[in-house]
Amino acid sequence: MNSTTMPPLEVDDFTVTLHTPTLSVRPVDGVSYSVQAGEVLAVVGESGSGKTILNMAPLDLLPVGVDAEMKGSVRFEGRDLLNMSTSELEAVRGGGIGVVFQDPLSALNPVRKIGRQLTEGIERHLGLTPTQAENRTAELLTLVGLPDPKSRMQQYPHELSGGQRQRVGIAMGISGEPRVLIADEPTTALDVTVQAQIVELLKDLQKRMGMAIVIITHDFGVVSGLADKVAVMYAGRLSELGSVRDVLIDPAHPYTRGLLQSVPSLTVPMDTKFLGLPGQPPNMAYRIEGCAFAPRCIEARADCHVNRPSLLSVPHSASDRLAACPVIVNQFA
Amino acid sequence: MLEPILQITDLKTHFRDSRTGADIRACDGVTLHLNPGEIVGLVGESGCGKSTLGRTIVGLERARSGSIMFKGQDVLALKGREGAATRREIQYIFQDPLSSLSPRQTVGEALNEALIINGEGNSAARRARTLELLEEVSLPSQLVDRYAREMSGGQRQRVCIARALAADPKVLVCDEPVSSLDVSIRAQIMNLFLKLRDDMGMACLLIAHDLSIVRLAAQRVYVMYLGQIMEEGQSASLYRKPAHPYTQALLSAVPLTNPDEEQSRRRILLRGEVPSPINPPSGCRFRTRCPAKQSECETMPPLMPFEPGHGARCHFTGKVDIVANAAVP
Repeated sequence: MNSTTMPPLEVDDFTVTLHTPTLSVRPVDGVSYSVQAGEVLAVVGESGSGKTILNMAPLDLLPVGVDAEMKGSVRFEGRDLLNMSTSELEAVRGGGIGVVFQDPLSALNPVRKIGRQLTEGIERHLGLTPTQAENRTAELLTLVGLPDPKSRMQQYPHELSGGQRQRVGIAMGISGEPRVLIADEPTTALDVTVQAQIVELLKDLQKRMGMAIVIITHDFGVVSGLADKVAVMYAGRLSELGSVRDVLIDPAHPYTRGLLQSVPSLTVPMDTKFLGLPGQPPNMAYRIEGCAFAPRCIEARADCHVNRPSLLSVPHSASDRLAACPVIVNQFA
Repeated sequence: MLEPILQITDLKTHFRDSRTGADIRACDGVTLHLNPGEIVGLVGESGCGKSTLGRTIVGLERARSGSIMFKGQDVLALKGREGAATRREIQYIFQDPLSSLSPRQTVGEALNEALIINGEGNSAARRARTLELLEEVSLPSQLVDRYAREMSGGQRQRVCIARALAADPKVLVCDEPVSSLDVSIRAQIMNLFLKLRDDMGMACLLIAHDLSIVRLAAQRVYVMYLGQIMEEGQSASLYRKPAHPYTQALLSAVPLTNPDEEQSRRRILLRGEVPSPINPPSGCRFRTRCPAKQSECETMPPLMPFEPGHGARCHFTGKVDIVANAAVP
């Protein structure tokens, strides 16, 4: 396979098991997908669905002290991140793969000036001189929509508003000129007017730089405005994977349907009832037999509680789409 | 015309900046009312003063001036035991149910305590009422011996609502009651508020940043910006025809879940940041960010009527639509 067709990120049967002294849990369980250059994939799920661990564990970005056992493969430009040495991984992280965190304040050092925090990584990953790196930092801050970059570089993180800090966080994420940008809930802490600005910024950067973006979110509004493909996660497993139009306009998996129903859009009729999902997500400390969503599913059959469904191709979709629900896939046929 | 259960007039709550001593005008002249059996939305972005307003209503912040009339009395002037009894009829629901429940109390103990505070002296009556309260919030009675940590987020928020109901309130002030919950369980709590409104005639002030949820739950909505109400109206009217440029921009920023609708809509991206409430702009508070500002905007506009029960604090109410002039992407 040559480098023009190889997806920059390929996740294959990826499983994470976390070990504590008393128990083992599996927050990511057999997940596979790939992201093409210039494509935005949204990984959607509720808290505890494993969407953050799925993306952070391969980069060794889990909290310190977490003992994570990883199986399967996560290939960046063909090289498996799981087999990399610490120094190889350090070169990839912040270089070929950029990361944007939900809370930019916690990703920035509070007692160091913004400029210094950015130039440091740029010097290392792009091999520039300090002066070149400083000029590049000013360019990046302009690129993410922060006017007067030279004076911004002299400021500390607490002197910026939430939206400005996230712009700095994004500047940091793209500073190594990554081919893959992983953004973990980059708009969750922001107001809608600021969120709209950040979504526009990410779209614009993606167009200019042609990178692949993986955005981790629970907000379908962000997905519909930004993403090309969406992966819906439930209890550590993929429940649906397909184009944004297929999944958001005509969801197949009962969990995707329930989740979309739970977020009434501004355009639904005024007399729309609040609909959610009954019950709770499963306790991950126990082994899940069958479909993890079956206890909350209105479509569930006896079989669903016993056999774990595999991802099946959903017929009559506009583009390739998979759903882990034999009951619904049969209805689509 | 229905008599409001709660009438707030020209309410100001200011804080002192500890460093400079300057006044932070968090809530700066708000007039708002709630009718019995009505859910009223109070929306706006973080820092607009909506939580300060809610906290002032229940006495968690001290008002600088203005009045809060409830059952014919100004609750800001109420003192002593009688004042406390009246204030108990206005209950507050916090955003984070876990931090508003004691980790050392079971559900039954928490509700029992609330009933004692409300003056229920008979322990058998309290036990019976506890079970009734659990039923009113659709929690199974077995939960009575559970601790907060042993419950889900949705169950905890139901317990908080049951505890508020122990005081037989007439008004609930709910500050972001579902935003800490996973989206798939938010409907359970929103439907509970609708049920309390329909079955008990409860009036709710629903403070929220989620405009889509408020649209479906509230009959009327107030939009707040920099300590002031910029627009108010029936939900049906306000969401269909927002009259204030701020409301127009705010609604246009809310992403739609349908990608076809989302990618073809007109949108106004507001520039810059919300100014500081220490030194808000003179005249219209929104004029520093308003794409339609004129020289008139240097004087403070009054609330101008637009449609019946719907008005906006904009000189050009009914004449401005900043989103209609925005480019289609």
